[in-house]
Amino acid sequence: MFVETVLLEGHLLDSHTLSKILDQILRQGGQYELMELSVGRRRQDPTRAKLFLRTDTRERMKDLVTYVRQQGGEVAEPRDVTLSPAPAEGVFPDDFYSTTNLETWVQVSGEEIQVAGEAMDLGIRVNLSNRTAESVPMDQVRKGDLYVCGSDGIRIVPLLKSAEARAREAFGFMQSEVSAEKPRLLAIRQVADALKECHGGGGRNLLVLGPAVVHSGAVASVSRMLETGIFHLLFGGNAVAVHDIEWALFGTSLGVNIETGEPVPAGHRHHLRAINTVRAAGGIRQAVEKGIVTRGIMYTAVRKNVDVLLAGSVRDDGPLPEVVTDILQAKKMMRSRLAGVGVAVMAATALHAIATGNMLPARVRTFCVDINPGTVVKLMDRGSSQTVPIVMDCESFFHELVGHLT
Amino acid sequence: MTTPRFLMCRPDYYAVRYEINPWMNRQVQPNHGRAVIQWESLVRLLSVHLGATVSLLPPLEQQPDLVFTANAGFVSGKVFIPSRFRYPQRRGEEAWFRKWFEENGYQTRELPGEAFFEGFGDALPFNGMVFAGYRFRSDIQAHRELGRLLDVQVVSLELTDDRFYHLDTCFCPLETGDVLYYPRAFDRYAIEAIRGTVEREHLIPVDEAEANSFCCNAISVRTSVLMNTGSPRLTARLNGRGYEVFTTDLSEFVKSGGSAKCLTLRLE
Repeated sequence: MFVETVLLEGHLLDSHTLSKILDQILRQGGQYELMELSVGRRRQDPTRAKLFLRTDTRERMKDLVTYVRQQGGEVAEPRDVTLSPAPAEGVFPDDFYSTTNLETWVQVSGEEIQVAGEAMDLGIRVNLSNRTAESVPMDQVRKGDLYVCGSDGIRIVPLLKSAEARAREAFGFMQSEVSAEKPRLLAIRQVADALKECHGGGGRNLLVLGPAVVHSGAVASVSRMLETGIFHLLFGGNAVAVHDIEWALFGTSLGVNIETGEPVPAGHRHHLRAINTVRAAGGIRQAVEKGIVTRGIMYTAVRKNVDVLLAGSVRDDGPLPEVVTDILQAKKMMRSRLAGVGVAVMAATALHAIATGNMLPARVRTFCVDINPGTVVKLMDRGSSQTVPIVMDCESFFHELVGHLT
Repeated sequence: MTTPRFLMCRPDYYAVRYEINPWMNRQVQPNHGRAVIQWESLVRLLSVHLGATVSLLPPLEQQPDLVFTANAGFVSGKVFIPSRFRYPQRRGEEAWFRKWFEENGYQTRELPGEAFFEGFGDALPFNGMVFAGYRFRSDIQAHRELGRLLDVQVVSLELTDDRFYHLDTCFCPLETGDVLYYPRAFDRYAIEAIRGTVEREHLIPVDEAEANSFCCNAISVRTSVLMNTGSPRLTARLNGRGYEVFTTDLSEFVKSGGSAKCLTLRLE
């Protein structure tokens, strides 16, 4: 991937040079993002534009830069980053640069280095001896390591749109605002297409679930979906697994019969019994292998070898043996499993959706399904602006989605 | 009404000694005698019919194209912005032009940077702004600098046909607000820019045959237009719009890719 920042100045709009350059970039197979455009107030004031260019080959970039120069553009000369050592374990240096969820490059001694692991709210550690840069969470900072400070020499690659992506943007309105007043069937078809495209291209699909998936009666649809093998990774907490297994063992979720909606006598004990049963078996996988748990989301995930990661919380009953109760450890494990994820579908969970959203690069196509618009807004407000909101009941969502996947 | 004043240079050493545009061919030399007669006829028309004053730049033996004074630079009031020629063959003219302007009370102001810029050949004032051509001779970077230096809007037009290598060979703003132009010498963005700046009823497109006879390389003074012979249809159209059109044979200069407008530099 080759990137450049280009500055343009002149009567770019009156002369149509800006549109000429943008058209040519797309024609030559490049991508661009118009990052700044300031139009003079008086007729004689020049217009200034800052353009981000990206191509897949060095040759293409060379050709594009030549063209842009012929049209009066200048390639911005980036400066080196400022590096400072971390003053203590778990402490960034003052003025450390905090990352975004976008692809980031840093210039070190004149050389551009791509930062490994794009996710928001991290520091950038630079290793001068092997010339690498990676994003690091605060708790993993080691005293003396070098971190990028200030803002010089840092280049952020916006989500670039190819001609093809721009054409596909007929769907862009879905991202305009969060509302239940949207054509949801169209959105669900888009989710199905994205999942298939990612799977077909060798990428990994991530499903993040909250316990309401079980209460709302979506277990059957989610199980059928996992059966198709489209998802590779499942994130959740203790609760979704407990309720799912409660349903598998007793047909209830928090003591309520899923089919009839009626509370079952002594049903309030079901979820603790379910936890106890799994703990006695040694874990979810063992409970499935011993034939104790014979249906449901966890059952299907074990059978289909879906990589399941359950992160704990102080509210958890039990918890189930698989639940990672050290949250720093859980964060680390979540991060390490996100490599290669192309699509994330998050349903009926605010906490796990936000936790995962914080770790996802902006280029991951993210869909957030919740009956409550506030949940989706929360996720988007926390920086996961790439999220496509789908405000609807998750049982209906999964029922419809599985229809497109089978 | 001010008297229009032009800077010209006698074609004493005019010849085709190199080839830097498709019109030039060293095998087809201009006839010196005829060139002098054509040049003098142009001076006569300017003085007698257009009421102009002509100032003369002394010719230089080693610079045959010095006769095309429009390429000296860009003049705004008493400010002279010298050209920076693309071809080394013409760079010897730069100091000679500069000397004349400095001796005649002009303040020289250089365009910053190193971009090529060929003066009134590629930059044409129009209604308080400037149309400027680029690609074959001037660089678009010079347009930006010109705009900054003069605090003026510069609309850049990319030229696409090397026969029309300077803007003044295919685009001619007239003092009335009308514009003659040969559309096929421009890319489509330039056409959009022209149409966005000049109202449609003021745009007068010319056809290829008349463009090839350098009808766009015309001199405009009030409602008079002076051009090379060979554009009867355009002449009739202009007459119909109330212009007085003067034509004079400048065929010896077309052999170098120049005509009426190239042979003159408007001083005031």
